[in-house]
Amino acid sequence: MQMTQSIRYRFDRIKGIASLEIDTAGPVNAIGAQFIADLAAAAIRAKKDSAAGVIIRSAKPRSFLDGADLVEIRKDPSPLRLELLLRGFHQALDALATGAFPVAAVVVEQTALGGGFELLLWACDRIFATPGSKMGLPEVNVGLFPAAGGLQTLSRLVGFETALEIVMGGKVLPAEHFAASPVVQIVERHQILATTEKWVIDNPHVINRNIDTGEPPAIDPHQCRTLIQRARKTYTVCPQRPYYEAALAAAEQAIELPFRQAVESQVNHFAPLIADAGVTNKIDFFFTVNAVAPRLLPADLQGALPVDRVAVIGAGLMGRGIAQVCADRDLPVLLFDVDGPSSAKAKQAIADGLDPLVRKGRWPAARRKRLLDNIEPTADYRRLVDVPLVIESVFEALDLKRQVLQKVQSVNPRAVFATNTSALPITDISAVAPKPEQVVGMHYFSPAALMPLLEVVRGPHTSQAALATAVACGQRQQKTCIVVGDGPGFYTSRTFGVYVLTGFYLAEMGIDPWEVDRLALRAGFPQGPLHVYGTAGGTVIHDAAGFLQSRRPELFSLPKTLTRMVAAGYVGAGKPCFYKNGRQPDESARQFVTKAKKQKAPDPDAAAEMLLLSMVNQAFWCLDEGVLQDYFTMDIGAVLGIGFPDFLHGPARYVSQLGVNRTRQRLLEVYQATGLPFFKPAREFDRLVACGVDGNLV
Amino acid sequence: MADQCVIVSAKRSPFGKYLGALSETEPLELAAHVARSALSAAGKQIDREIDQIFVGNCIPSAFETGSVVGRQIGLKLALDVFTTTIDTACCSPLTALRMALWGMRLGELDAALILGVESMSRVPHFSRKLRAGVRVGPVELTDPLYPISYPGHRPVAVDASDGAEKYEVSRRMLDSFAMGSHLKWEQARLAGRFDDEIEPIRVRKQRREFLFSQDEMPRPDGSVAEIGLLAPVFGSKSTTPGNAPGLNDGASAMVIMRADKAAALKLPHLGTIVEQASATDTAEGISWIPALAVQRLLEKTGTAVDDLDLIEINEAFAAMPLVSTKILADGNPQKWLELLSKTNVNGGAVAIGHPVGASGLRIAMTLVYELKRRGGGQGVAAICGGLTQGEAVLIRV
Repeated sequence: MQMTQSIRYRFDRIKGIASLEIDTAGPVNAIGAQFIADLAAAAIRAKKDSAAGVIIRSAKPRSFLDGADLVEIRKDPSPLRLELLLRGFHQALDALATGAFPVAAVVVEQTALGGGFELLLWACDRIFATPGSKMGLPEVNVGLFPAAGGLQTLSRLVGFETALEIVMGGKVLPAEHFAASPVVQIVERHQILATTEKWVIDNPHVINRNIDTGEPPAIDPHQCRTLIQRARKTYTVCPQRPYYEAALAAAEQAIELPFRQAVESQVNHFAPLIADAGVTNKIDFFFTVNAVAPRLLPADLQGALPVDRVAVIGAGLMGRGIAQVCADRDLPVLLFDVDGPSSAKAKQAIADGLDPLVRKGRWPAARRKRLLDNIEPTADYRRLVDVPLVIESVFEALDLKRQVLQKVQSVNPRAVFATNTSALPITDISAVAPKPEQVVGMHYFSPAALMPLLEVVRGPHTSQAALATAVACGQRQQKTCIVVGDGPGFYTSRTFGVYVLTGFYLAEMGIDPWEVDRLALRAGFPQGPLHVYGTAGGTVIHDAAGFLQSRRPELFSLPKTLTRMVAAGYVGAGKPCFYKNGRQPDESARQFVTKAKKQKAPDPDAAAEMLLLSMVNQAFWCLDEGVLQDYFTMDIGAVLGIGFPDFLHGPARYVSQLGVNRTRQRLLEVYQATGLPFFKPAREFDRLVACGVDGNLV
Repeated sequence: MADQCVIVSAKRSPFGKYLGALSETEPLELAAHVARSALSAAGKQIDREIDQIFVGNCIPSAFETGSVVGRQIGLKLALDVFTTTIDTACCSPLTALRMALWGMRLGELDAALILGVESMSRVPHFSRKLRAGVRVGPVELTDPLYPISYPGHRPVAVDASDGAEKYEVSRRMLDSFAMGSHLKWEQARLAGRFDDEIEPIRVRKQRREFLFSQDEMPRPDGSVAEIGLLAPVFGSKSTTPGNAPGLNDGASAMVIMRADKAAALKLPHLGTIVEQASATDTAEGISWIPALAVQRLLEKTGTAVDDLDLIEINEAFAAMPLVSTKILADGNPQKWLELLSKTNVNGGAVAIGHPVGASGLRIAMTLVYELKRRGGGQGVAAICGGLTQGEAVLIRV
């Protein structure tokens, strides 16, 4: 047995099978310089031993091989180093693939991601996976793209169109999704090793399918180009995400190239990415969310009350989404609405919403059934007597929420009462509660099933146990949790609010409303501010903005356009707004735009900067006021909750890279030019400057 | 004025990190090296002019023989003049300077060599049990550095944290100022602002010999947020390894002379020691004692805080400059930020390190050179010492 640092090589002389067991340093198996060297050495060794077959496994319980070692890459982010690493990886994979033996992989409820999946796709003739295994190409999520032939090799399994979708979407899917191809076989755990060995022994002469046999490509080049062009339209709106264009350019160049040349051509698209600040920001953000976010949570989550069921009160869009999220993770839900029939209708709406997922094969029917079995519609508050956690998601009206709170606490004062309010301070809601220490904010984002963030709000009296219970529930729902302090709009709503308000003011300064949205998308926001107006609902925006202004008149103001549109019934959500059907501009909205006097329309770059600065400044005001305590939370909340461009990592990194002094100066200039109160620089900037800190915030 | 006390030279070694570049250098050798540099920095050897030597050192056990370490250094320099070794904890080198200043004013000396030296990496563990013999059982070896505290008193880390709390200096402000220390150091280094004061020294470390020429502790690649993740230590609420200096090695040296003598010898006039003051307070007041010493000094000299062009307050912890400047600003938030903007402008101990007996002289010379770079002015350097004593010196350039 030969022991290398990251791959354990064993050769069974009797069966003639070489077994490679991956076990790199670190909590997951990752591809770094050591692994690449060890993989090449293992391939050479197998050839030397005249192995009749090679089986690759992982020693780690959940990780088969989870892509590139980002820590290693980030430590020395040089394109040359990355190029050498990638070429070395190609060579190692090629060595294994071209060996005169069949290569099989055994994936046991593990994940094979990015380069790990590319290893399977390139070097393995068969992939045996148990149910519960996951595979995918999520590289774009960290600002890179699959550059070890992933698109080409995956196309042979699922077709070019699906492969391109997986690459561009950074998707990770259950192994079953790839089992239509004979290359991937799903086998139960207790049979998998025997099945794999048998296949290897029975198939000694398998030739690697990726090595060109001289036959014409199975993929129509013209169709490929069309699909690539379509993807370009979707993904490359924002020039600061170069990894999308790099992936597409590489894909385009590789059409009609033999496999090895196709892979080689990917190197020059891939390596330069690491020199891009947006890419390194995205890699850093990956670690911020996965490694740092849990460390920001209150230390004693042990105080969390055991939660074996929840109640969701208010079965509107958000309430239904929250109920679905709980039920999907085997947390039984009592779903409340105004009366029994309404609750039942709400459950039906959830069921109807899941139908397309099952029909399209994205969800197994069993998962849908289990989810729905976990939801019990009711209107009987007496049922709450043994429910430890109640999540309230009724209308955003203080009186109504107080009523619900009092009703709940009269039945079960020991329950933790979590309110999904987006802007009403916990202080206000819990003011009349018999037990205010049980009240905490759990602010979800729409759609609750998809948005990764949960903003947990600590009220002035919230007990450690209540806070811990809310956080633990959020973690169980696989949300990234941040804890913030109390205040109108907390952190995310008020920071998102100024983004929308700034959009209105830009239109009032003379920029065409639909151009405002377009430049926002080019700046990296996922949705333009005036488009948000329509999807979030004009009344919601107007009420929230009005509420913020009433509480903080020195920090917020309402654009006249907004008031006029709401008064005219242009509030979206079924009624007219800036867009018809959510896509086409509705010119009739133009009549409401109130032009600001004496103000020149800013150029597109300045306008985009204003949108960013509005969020940045508001975030720093939150820091001033103690709603936020640290820069990690600031950045996590902004990117995961309210669309701050991910390649900037967040407001704190944005300020670090622009410079504290320069940010303060720009804010002052915009404040002086526009008079808009939310551009008045936050006081934290002055403190940072006095301390000699111009960057390095996060 | 002819009898004024002028600084004719000031030099320091780069400061080493704990168990770093200077950890295999005997403090005797380190101090002598820096002293020789100061004695020849003015372009001529001025050994013969030195009337007395005053040496600050806090933990003499780092020396091979921890007794009259100053005299040992003097003899190593072949300077057989009266040498006083002073321990007022971190105040030591500034107390040494003050004793020399008094000597000059009394007419007892015309020129003095001031030194501050500390080799924290070489402080030995100890046991009192061995002298009488240990018949059975394990022997505990005490580490005098861990934590730094005095019998019957809480660790200094706790005092710093309590001071920050008392004067409402937030944890984030401590961490921001700490990051600023690193960033200001880096800017200063890149601009060559330490070239005047640093004397590189040949060192050996693990059989490798090299020229140690730059402070090795600063970490300008960190972030305020990362410092914020560190847990408080020694039972304090807000003191962490991120907003505190490390345990360090280094030495500083300065030669002071009566103005007329310096002129006669045609020696440079780097700055004038206008006045010094000392202060004490209750034992937990180390974070605000620099302010008290400065206030006493300003009162003594009829100077206002606004008349100061630069301030140096040693970052024994980030709390010290923050709490002390807040007091000097009378709690006015705007004034506080103004004072902070001119405090420790080239970074401080959180980044550079705090070899406890050497820092007092380092901040004085950094002040002198920076004032000189700015075309002159006046500034104050202040430091706290264990069990709450403080020194402050007013320097005019």
